[in-house]
Amino acid sequence: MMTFLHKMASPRYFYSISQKLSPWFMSVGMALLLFGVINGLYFAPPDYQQSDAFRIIYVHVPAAYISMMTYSLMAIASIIGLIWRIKIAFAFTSSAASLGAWFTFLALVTGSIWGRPMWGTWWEWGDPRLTSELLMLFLYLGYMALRASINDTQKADKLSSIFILVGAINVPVIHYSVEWWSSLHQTSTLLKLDGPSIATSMLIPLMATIIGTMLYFISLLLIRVRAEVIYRHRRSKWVRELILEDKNV
Amino acid sequence: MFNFLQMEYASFVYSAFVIFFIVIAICTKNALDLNKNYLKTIKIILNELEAKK
Repeated sequence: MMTFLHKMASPRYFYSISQKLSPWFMSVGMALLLFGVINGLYFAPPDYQQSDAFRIIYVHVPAAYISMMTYSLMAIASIIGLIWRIKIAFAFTSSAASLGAWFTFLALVTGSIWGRPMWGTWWEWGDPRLTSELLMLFLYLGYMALRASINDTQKADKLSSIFILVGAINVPVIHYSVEWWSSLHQTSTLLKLDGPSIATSMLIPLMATIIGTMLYFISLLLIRVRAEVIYRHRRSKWVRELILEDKNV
Repeated sequence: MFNFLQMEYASFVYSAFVIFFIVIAICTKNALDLNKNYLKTIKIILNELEAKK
């Protein structure tokens, strides 16, 4: 495992392996996503309380998971970058931010669309889950604005990583907000100690959309990190060789 | 076969799914464009360096 991680920290190795992996992640992810969406929309039974409105779960939950997962991974990468000075970790954080922001936006919009028929409102400012998720979107945007405002890449890497680490406190707040405070949002359905409280016929399409969206997300992330890595090492010999030798690049 | 629009809350459900796939498409386009643009920039830099030699 450590050997693999060491190899992945090498920009040249990462570039080559991610080029091979991203099409696979993308195609398998999209296939799983379509399977989950079709099954979730037309074959899963309606919920006894929420009727067909519950089907929004098949796009809302993957988006919300990825939103939190991305921020957590960015925080881990920031620690790795700051402590061990592995440059690829900074390339990862800067590439993941815009994807994380889009998925957070998606979680907020699909949640709002779900909230209108179920809660009778598009948005509730006093709700802890909603406002902490909105705060996460602002953290992503703040991170991107901070990076864009600093010309020196090394300085931007360090300062924006500290920003990410400070904001990481919001991740457990989002997750536990429905347990700590009174919220319109329902409590966790999947991540429970006594197992998921959802029927198998609804759970299978949900797992397919979650895993499918994650694989698709990983493929997009690999493409973005690859671009960032090659740009950051544009004056390196291996990049020159790669560009001049390979006509497809 | 399927009663697409007879589903309860159909407009809410379908709009959520449509927005989801629009965002996926935007993210895909952004990632591919970024990759393409960076490669283009690097090629220009390398060509300039080659020309100077």
